[in-house]
Amino acid sequence: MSGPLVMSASTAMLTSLLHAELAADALVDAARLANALWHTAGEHRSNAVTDGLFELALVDGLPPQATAIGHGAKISAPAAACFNAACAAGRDDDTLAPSLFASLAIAETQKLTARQFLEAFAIGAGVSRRLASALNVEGARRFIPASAVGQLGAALSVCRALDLDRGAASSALGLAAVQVTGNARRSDAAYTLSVGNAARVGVESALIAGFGANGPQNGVSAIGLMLNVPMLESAVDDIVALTVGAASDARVAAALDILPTGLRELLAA
Amino acid sequence: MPPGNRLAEEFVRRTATVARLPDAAEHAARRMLFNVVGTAVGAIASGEVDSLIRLGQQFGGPPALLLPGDLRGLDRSHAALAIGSAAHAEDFDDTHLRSIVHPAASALGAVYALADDEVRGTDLLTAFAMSCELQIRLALCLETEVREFHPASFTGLFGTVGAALAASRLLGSDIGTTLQAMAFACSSSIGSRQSLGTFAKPLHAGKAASNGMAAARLARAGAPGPEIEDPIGGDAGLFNVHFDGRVDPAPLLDGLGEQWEIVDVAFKPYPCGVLLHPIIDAALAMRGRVGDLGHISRIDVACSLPVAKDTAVADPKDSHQAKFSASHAVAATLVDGVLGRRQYQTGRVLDPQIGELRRRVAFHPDAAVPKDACVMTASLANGETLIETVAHAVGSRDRPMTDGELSGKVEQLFEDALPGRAAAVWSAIGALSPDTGVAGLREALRP
Repeated sequence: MSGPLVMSASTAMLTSLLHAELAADALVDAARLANALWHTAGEHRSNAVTDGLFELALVDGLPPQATAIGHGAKISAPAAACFNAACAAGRDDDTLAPSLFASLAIAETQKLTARQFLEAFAIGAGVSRRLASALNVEGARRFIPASAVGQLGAALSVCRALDLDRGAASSALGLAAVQVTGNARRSDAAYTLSVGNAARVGVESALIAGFGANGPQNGVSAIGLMLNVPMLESAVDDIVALTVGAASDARVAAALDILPTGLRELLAA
Repeated sequence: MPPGNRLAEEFVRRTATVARLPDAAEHAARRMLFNVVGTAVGAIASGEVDSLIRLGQQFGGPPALLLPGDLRGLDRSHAALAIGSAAHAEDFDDTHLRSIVHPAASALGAVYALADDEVRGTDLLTAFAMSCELQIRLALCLETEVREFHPASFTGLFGTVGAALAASRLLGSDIGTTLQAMAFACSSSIGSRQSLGTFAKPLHAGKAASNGMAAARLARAGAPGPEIEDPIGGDAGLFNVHFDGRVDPAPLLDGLGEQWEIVDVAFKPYPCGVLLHPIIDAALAMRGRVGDLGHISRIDVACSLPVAKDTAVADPKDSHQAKFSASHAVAATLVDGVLGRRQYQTGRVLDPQIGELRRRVAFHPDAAVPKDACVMTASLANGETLIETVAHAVGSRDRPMTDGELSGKVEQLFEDALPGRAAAVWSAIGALSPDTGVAGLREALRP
């Protein structure tokens, strides 16, 4: 039952997005989602779980790399991704929160531009959304979509933000895919932690793959097997057609204008 | 038997007052700790978890402890991740054969990383043992078919819950807080058999350690746990979410505190899955009879059913893939006369002679063949056939490794980082008591 040793078709498709130019519509859509989730996270930054996550980051003395929204403090990039995504848990589109806050934490750490951040988020969000919509009733009943598929989108986003090659990205996707977590019918506390963990998984999977760790080459189908959704791979068949394309400077600028000021201030000019 | 919605509470309540293990269980726990410290030291020294160490160095906090057998330090969370992964990285750790669980790696990651100077030696040992016992008993609850064919990997899935229990004990959490930690852990559990043959497999053990520790620390920090009836047996618990309730919960609690499953944990004499161990034993015996390997026309192995399912990589390209290649185990053993860590290094995996011999090996899964047995038949060019039968592999329940064999294994694992130190480390583990802390063990593991 070992994973295949050759890159699967869906993984090949996803990794083709790493260096592709993205369509203007995809960027605008991503910017709108980022705007909404950013404000959601800021409004819900304090609950028992997020307070605990922030406290543990301080206890461990994590390096100041990326911003914990609303705290005016920086913690490590994986911890910031986790904290910020947890703040958005339970709200609309929280399946995309791991991808957004994983992208943002790495973009801030790596001093990426707003456009580079937005492109990274756009591809992760596209994948997460398609996979989540393909979960069957049984899969969604058992697992929280944000931590069943959202970690894969987060990993893809971070791979683009880190400019990983396709081989490393393939491993990153596999490493993230085998970390499905989150029992769906848990209370708010476990739900919150699961969404945060998905963001952390995305960041760490890409980082260690970049450091040389190898992973299964069939990320999407690995998730499908765990969730008992055999045809999950077909959910991303259209992603290249809908995501890749041209974007004029004016359309890119319009997309970037949608991003919240506070978010843009974390990124390079 | 309590109702299905109180399994976790019952386990925690019944074990909370156990401050020290009975003699047989305590001896087993010391041997398990010795063995898994050895595999962790060996893998850290050989660079197996360098990616995780870099992660901790670049994204972690100031070092709280040194890694065993190494002068690099990490914060507690990243140390748990690295140590747990390292202990399982070379597939050289342990197996509870009935449950197919490798319990000690995640348990070691959690207790070694979290124990501070205040922790007593026996507290560390008991927390380690309880984590392992819980993991094993959880797996024993599964229906046999589920245990053998489910897509989940139990090392991570149950290891997370076990690590949360161990960490909660070391943190001094009360029963309620421990249950909260276990509830967080059940929502943080990971494990997929799609990880086999890649770094994701050892990563499961490391993530189990760090996720379990995080769950315990989060609960201890005051975060309310999931407001559900039971993290293990409840409607939204581990058993139902992952296994559709295809469990018999009796083994979780039957005889708890009186009978210890950890006494049946087997240590691996070879750095690969236990399914391959009888095959390696047979190949070692066969090598002495064959003489010139060029005379072998083909090798047929009657083996247990899971061999074909879990170790079917025919043409491995690296160490991780080779761990799941039964044909590599046979060929490398026949060519080198030994199956150790070196035979899984990429250079040996890609060796032309071993590769050519791999193609002459065929496996014939047979439901009548137990997992610790096999029959190997070598057909020679001159028409002669040689047969080797292994009834019980070395390291199996019926043929466990002796203390001497275990010490020899650990000495081999220490050869790069702590040469000649196996006896000292065994002594430090033996000295863990209510009157000592863990400083002696840490010092013994310092290069």
